Amino acid sequence: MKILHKIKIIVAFTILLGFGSCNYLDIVPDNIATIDYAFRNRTVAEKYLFTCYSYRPQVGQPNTDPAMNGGDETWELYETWAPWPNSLIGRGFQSLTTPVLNFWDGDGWVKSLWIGIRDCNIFLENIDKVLDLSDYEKKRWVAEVKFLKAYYHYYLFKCYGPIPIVDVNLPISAGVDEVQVYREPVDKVMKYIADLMKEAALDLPNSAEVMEGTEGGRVDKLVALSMRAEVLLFAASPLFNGNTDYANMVDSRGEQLFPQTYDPNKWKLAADACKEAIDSCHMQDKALYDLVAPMAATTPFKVQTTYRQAICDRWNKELIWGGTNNDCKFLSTNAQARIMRMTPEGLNNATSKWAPTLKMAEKYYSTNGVPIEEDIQWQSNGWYDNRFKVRPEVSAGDEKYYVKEGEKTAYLHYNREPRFYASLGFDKGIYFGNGYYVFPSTVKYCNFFNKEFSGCQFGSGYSCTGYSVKKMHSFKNALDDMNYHVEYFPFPILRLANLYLMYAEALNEADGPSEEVFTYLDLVRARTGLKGVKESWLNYSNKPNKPDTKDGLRQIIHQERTIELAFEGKRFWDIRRWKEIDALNDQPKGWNVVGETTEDFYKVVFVAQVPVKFTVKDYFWPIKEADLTVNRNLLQNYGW
Amino acid sequence: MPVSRYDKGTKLFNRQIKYKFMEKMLIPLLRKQKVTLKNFLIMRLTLLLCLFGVLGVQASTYSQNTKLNLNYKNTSIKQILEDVKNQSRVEFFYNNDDFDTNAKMDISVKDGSVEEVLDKIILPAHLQYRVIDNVVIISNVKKEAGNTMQQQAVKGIVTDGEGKPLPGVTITIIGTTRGVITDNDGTYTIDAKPTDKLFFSFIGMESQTIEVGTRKVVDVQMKQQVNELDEVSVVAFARQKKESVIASITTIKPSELKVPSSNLTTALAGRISGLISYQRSGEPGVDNAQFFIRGVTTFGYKKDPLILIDNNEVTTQELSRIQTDDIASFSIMKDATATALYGSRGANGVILVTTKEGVEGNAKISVRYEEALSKPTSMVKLADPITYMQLHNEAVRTRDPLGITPYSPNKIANTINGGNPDVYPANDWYKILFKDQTLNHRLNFNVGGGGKIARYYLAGSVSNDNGMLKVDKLNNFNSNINLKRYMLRTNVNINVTRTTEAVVRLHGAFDDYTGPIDGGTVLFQKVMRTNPVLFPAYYKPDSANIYTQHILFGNYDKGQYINPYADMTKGYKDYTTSQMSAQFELKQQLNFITEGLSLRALFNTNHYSYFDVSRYYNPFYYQVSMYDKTNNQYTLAPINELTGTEYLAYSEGKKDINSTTYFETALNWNRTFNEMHALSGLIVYTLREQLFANAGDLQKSLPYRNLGLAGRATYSYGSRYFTELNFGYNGSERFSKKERFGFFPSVGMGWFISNEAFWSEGLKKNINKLKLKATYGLVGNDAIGDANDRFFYLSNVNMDNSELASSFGTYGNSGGGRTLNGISISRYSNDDISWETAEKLNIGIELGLWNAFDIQADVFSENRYNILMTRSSIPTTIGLQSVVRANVGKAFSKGIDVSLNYNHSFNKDLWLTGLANFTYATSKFRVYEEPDYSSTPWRSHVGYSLTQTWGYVAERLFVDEEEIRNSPKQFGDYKAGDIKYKDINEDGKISELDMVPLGYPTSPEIVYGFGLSGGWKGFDLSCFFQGLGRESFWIDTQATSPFADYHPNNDPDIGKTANNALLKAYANDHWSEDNRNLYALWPRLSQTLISNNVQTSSWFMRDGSFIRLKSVEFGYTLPAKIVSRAKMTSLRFYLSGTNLLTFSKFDLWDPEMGGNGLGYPIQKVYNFGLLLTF
Repeated sequence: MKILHKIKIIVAFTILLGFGSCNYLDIVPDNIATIDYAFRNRTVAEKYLFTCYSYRPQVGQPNTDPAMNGGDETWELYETWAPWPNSLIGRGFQSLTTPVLNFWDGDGWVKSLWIGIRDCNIFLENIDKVLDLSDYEKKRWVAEVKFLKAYYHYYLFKCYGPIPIVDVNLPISAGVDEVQVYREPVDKVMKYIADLMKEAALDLPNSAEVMEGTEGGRVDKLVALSMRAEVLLFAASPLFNGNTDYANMVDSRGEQLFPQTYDPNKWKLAADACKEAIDSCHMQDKALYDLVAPMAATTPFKVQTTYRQAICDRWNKELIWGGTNNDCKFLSTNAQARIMRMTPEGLNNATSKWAPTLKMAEKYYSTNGVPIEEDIQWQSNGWYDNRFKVRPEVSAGDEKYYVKEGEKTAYLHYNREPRFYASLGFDKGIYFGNGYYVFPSTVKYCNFFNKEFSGCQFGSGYSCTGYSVKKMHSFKNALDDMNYHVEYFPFPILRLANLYLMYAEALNEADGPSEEVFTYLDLVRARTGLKGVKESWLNYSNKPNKPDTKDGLRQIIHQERTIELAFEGKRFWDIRRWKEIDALNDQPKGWNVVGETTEDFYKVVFVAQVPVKFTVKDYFWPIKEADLTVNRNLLQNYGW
Repeated sequence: MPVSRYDKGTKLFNRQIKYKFMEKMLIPLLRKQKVTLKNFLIMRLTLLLCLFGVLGVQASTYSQNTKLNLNYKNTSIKQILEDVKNQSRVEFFYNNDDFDTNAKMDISVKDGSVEEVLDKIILPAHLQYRVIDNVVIISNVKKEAGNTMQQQAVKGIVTDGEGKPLPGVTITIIGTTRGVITDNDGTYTIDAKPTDKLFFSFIGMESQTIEVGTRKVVDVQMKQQVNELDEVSVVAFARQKKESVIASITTIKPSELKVPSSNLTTALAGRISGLISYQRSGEPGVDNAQFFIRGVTTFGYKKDPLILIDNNEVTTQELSRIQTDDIASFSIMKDATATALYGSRGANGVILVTTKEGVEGNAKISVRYEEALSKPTSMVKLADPITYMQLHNEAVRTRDPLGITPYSPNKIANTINGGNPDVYPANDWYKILFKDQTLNHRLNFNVGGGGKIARYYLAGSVSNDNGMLKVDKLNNFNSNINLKRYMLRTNVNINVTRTTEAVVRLHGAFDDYTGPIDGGTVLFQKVMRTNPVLFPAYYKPDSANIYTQHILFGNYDKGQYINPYADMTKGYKDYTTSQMSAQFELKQQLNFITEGLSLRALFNTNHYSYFDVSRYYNPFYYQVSMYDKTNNQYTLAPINELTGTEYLAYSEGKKDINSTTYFETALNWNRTFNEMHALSGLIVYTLREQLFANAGDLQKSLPYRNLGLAGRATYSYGSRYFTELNFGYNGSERFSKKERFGFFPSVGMGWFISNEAFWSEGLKKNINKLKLKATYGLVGNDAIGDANDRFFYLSNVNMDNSELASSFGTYGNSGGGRTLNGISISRYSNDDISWETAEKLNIGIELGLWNAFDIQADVFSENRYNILMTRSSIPTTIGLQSVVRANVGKAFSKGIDVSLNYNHSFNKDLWLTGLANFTYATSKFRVYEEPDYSSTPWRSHVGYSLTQTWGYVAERLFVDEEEIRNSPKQFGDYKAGDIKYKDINEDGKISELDMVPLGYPTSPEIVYGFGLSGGWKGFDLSCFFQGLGRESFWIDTQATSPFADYHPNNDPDIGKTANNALLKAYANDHWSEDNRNLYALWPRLSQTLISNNVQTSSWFMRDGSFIRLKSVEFGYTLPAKIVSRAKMTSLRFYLSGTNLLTFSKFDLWDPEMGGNGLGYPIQKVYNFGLLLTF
């Protein structure tokens, strides 16, 4: 009995010990945020909408948009401690093991677009849970997210070619077979993207319904239609349309990823889509930017500034989709040439590190609106052959509007079309704006000689070619010795001039030269005072019949796009879809920026340290090697 | 002779002796002639202050000043003495044969002292008495007188095993009740005949009987009782008889951990079998060594063992601060049986430290003072500035023939010719910033003692560690590292009742630090990233700056270069940490329920806080703008006139506060039946909660909790056969309800062969101990995955993530637009995630040879499963924002650890001890979640160590461009003289698929140590060697890449331009166009990082093994006779040294630092110390 009693005490004690343990470990309060909280009401759901937008690639950022500095338009002064990632693409340092600007997996610079697509799907799956959302708004938001989902697929497509389609999210617990997806063939992906954009366009608001004050940059009907046109233009382009280089890209299912037969009808579809977009734009009061009234400016500056302001006058009528996710301050800082002497601190405020190549300086037309190598005036005067030589005569007369009066510069810098002077800062070139508007008393000019204000002064922060991108910063910006004051503008992801040129290109490819083609080409040219294509070529080109053939007109359209859309991140993609990667094998050149005298400076030098050979494999990014070991069903891109 | 009487006398004596210990401080009162009142008061006051009055209880036990009142008529002497005893608490000691205790007498005393009373009682009876402390010895005058003919005074000193005087030893003459007790200084005097045998006894020591003979001096060294049957060993939550311990536990004598450093963790390597340990940095405050019990077998964030000080879980930092003088026992627990009770937290092994408690007896005070001279074991050698310039020019030209060389021939020539050092600087930045050596001081003291009611142990320490940094005279603040550490510890045990003991332990440790803003390691790194010839540390004022009030720091261009001297002197950082713990423990014997049952409860709270603050000015930088060579005068140009400041600014640093509460209660039962069957049982219940003030997010701010119920049952038969069952049943809040609790059982068996009857005495002479043991069981771990993943069963959503913000509106993201932050997910919920489990097997042997060697060897294996791993089969196309994990990993480890101890005293003056430890632990992945590597099997982790490195196989350097064109494509831009890698899978390109496992693991697989100590009379000498093996490390190619602009992680100089220094070794041995050495140490020079060469490859792999003379100590203990004159018990002086010699194949820096060689170097220490007890 006594023993039993003792046992009781022990047991009671033990139970007491175990007591309370049930709740002791339950420390999590009820209201811990989970994903359900994201769709509780309109306010948080709007955050989720913004989240979906946040994956937009930084189009227009000089360092992380591959198209801004990864091609042959510009070259960055290579500073080892922080090279711009896109310059690594331009230098041929794209890597299989650690891809640069890896939109597939995400890296330190860019986000994984697959995550963006998953977020879009989560939004679409859950938006019905939000009770305090009006039907109109819900429709609009859903359409926006659908567009973004299509856009992210499209961006991946541009980088990687055929990609898997993620229309519906796979559950986290999905089995290995389910998650190991295949890349889908080009046509299927393109159709999916174009259709989804079309679907989105139905419910998207008209341009006027998007409040500029709070919503500028959100997607509207015009964005969806225009972007769809661009998608179809890509689909019709040689890279994807009957490209036999990639004939061997057949996956383990036996699926041929690239269509092997050329289909001219794709151009037709693209042209129709462009036309549809253009018509919608016109209906919603979009037009080429044509009006600018800079203070006390003379005609040449008015024309140049009109062209510059088509980009830098924020939310103007030419803009279809403006990017609001990158800071145009960084862009401006790297585009602006210093036009007066700054203290050492001030040097870093405007670096002109983002330097146009000599090739781009040559691309611009002559005063007569034709390529300088074709211009009969340039040929007969020997200007073309001597274009890299310093003209012995100093700038005089009307030339003073373009080149500092009494100074010498290369032949290349005289007798060019207005867009040349509007787009490039060059040695001794007049630089209108930046607080100096009265010509000739205040307006400044550039001096890119070594140790001069625009040029290399110390070891870093200067243009390595002797040019700067005047076009991509507002003429209203101002530089003092401590700060650089920037006029904000949304980066033009899409503007009407681009749409016109797309339409012209598609039409020409589909049906050859036609009045419609010339109409839209000439609209773009006319803004800066150039005569029509036919007239200009007939009068000034040594190939006067060039516009009459499909091939000739194609070259003209390509060059027109290169000039009009220079430094806007378009040529990088154009070269690819045109299958003209060879263009990147011209080693970039510039002036000898360490030269301190006219004789020294005006020598053409190579700016790249390494000659690289771009080949057919370089049209696309490699898929990271590790991804292929995880998903055996993924096919690597050709050549990687 | 009535034996029974004698026995009673001895017992009586023993009790009095214990009594005496308690009152050691009070003894002087009995010897009024020796101690002044002033001394007494000081001592008393000290004690009172220290012990918060606990000792006040003691006062009542003292009796000799008591005034007695006696009034007896015709009463027996026995009865009178009994009353005197009761009134004064004096004990009497006499032999019944000496006189008639029943003789009656009259006595009347009023307010008399004890002496007065005794005079009245004893003298009339023709007896004599002596008072020794509070013992009165009464003897017969006549008998004594008769014996004095042959008797003579015998003197001597009694010492303990270490030669220290031992007070309180009882010395009796066998066959009589006469006896004395040794004095404070261990001396005694007793009258004895040559035929008498002296019996020396002391608790805890082996008693000795010595015949007097003709000697007049009999010195005795008492030996520690080594009877294992009575020895106890610390085990989880309890103590066990050592013989019955079958778990694998290494216990080390605290004195072996004594090193001249204020960081205990630096002493661990090689001292303890089963512990893998190494130290990577020598900077005061951040020089903790890393240590792992039996290597690493997990991939979770917590790889190091559980550390318990007095049952309270603490961090490595706290362990590093504990004073070896305060440690009572230091054990590491290695196998399942030893750690199973710690259930959730024991899988990585346990370090168990208990601090000393007071023992009954007089206060024993011990003071230790050390003065240490500290200097780097080795410094990285840099090329001279001239070579730097020449090779920098070469580096530019060899990559780009048109490149602009940074140094003109004019500058180089002028530097060689010793031009104006401010205009043509040639800096040795190491010399400019750092001193060759520094002095550190440490003082600690402790007091222990107590009485029947209470025992106390009090310890304090102060240490001051200094860095090697120089201080600029122009500053009025000191930016050198100065780390002061204070520690106070009190442990008080109180016998509340006969069966109840309460223990209070209070402990506080405090750090006060002043040092450079970036910390010492970063300064060392900065030197490695600074150009030696661009500018001097500072300029002497030119004519324009004669009146300038600030230092004219040098810089160049726009001031974007690192000037380490400016960074060092521009300001200072203060930090303080305080860590306090209070512990209350109650032990209750429950014999009234059943014999051998006891209950113990412990409550502990621990608070930690840290903050730092920096004060600094912005240095003014200058450069030479003009130099007039003929007059040797330069003009300085300010670089940052506007941003430099002469006044101080300040910035608040981080703050870190946390608190831990721990509760433990244990029911323990212990009983032996029929002397053969020993049974014991234990049930423990524990609760632990930790809270962080600056957790960083909501989920981490919630309390961290653990809860456990654990138990043990043991049975042994006849001290020969042992079995043990353990279990831990633990809960962790990290897991979902269904996976929350884990059950971890273990079982062990042992056979003490040498206790068998058949083990003959003859066998015992050679093999005095032989014990075999085996254990097997499971242990859990909830510290899995990432510390940031608090609750695996909950998703973690950030509802306001600025990284996913979007902006719209007129001004977009320029600041004027409408911006909303986004929503992100950093963890997906998974309620299946559960405990990581370790299945441990241990087979051990304990062997004692010739009573001198003691060998313990264990063979172990561990199978770790349910390791949390990232699912690798999920491709990125699914679009998850964070990884998905599951308990899928498996790892295996095995190894041996052996320890050998040797102990021998040749004679009383000469002794020798030796020890050797060896630990080998190797691990491998069993199941590792990775992509399908069937086509490239060398990429698979399975079968390789958990700290294996994968890299490329470097063949040699490229011969020429032709070879490059004909070789597989490598990385980035490369030329002849750059590293050529082997294309393992022969696919024509070098990519990740060509990475193979290289070398040994980065954590050593072998750690060993051995040492010898010997002593002769007062001198002792010991040395200890330590080494490690089977470790590889990689030279940091980015940090050492000459001239490159290198930015480490968390670089405070982001945005500045670095110019890496040039290692002398690289300057002497690199590929150059003139000397195309295809096997040169460094490939073709470059002023930028060449991505081809900085890949992890076998080219820069180095063998990390080394052996070093870890410590040497020479000591001298003053003879007791001399120190006793100064009222001291012992005094020892010693000289010691740490890390004096290192033997290794690697010579660029100290090999123990591994790849971290450019940081704050490991220190070599010369130390002088003295230890004083009284």
